[in-house]
Amino acid sequence: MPRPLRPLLLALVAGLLVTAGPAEAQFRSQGNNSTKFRVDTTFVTIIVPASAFDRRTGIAVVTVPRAIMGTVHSNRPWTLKVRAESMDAQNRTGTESKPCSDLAIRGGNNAGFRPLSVTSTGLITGGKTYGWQPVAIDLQLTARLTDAGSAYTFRLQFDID
Amino acid sequence: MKIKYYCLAAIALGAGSSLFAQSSQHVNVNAVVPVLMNLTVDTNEVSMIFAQSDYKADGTADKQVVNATTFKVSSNSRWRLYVSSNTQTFSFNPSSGGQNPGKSCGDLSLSPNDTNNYFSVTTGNKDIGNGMPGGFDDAGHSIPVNYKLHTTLAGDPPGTYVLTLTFTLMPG
Repeated sequence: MPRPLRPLLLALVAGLLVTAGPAEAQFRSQGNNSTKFRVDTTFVTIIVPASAFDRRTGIAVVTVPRAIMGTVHSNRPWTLKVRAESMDAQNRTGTESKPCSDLAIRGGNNAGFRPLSVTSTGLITGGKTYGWQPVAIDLQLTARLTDAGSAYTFRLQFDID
Repeated sequence: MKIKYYCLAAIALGAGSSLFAQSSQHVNVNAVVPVLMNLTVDTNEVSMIFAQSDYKADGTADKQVVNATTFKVSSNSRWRLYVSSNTQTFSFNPSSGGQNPGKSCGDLSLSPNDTNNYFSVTTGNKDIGNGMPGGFDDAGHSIPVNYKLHTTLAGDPPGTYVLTLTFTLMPG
């Protein structure tokens, strides 16, 4: 083998090895940040029973603990963020809607529920994980008698930094 | 120099996959809200006891009970409240003999919201209120009803007269 080609081939092989490995391995070998979030629950149904309504105020509050389950993998401190994809949750025909703030959310061990908005806000924070770490997210829906009887879909987007 | 370029390319390829790891995750939350219509009333019985002094010189008397019943509506759709009599006539239980006079349900009049706009009861539905979605505490969701009964000395022998009314809440 001609002498000038040898380092070039070695570099190519090294490059292939780097690109062929799994994503997590790449980040570790390069010392880069690796932070990932996966949802195990992609569809949640909250049914508001008629008995949940306060007949005076016309308000019903339904809490669903651990409504959304997911896992986080990170080799550095991380923040899971959430936002509503639109200002209003609409019914299937688009004739009725509820504000996205009628759905509140909290990270498993956090204290208070926070109403959703279209602005991404921090939900859960954590440190470096050892493998995939489960996270639980609670939901709380507020229904009002001013909401027509229907099924409303809230679309949530999660991002991790 | 070439070697440096190849190494940079290889590292760039590896780093590129981190972009995919940062992609957003999506969850749909479906909230099912039922159709709700709820009607309550504070009392199911209204009594009017006529005294001799209630009768006028022409032998007629009208007895009124203000806000004898209050209906409350909670609904997540527009609503209407109707009233009707279950029967054309009052039932009669004489106190000192006498035949059932067949006292008409129309002798009973109602007035919602203390408006003093009385209408006679019939066996057909009559509209006594309507409103927007909301709970009991919302404006217009509480409907007091006045009752007025007309009687005559000539037509109504002494006794107890009973009429049953049905109040029906419907989507409006």
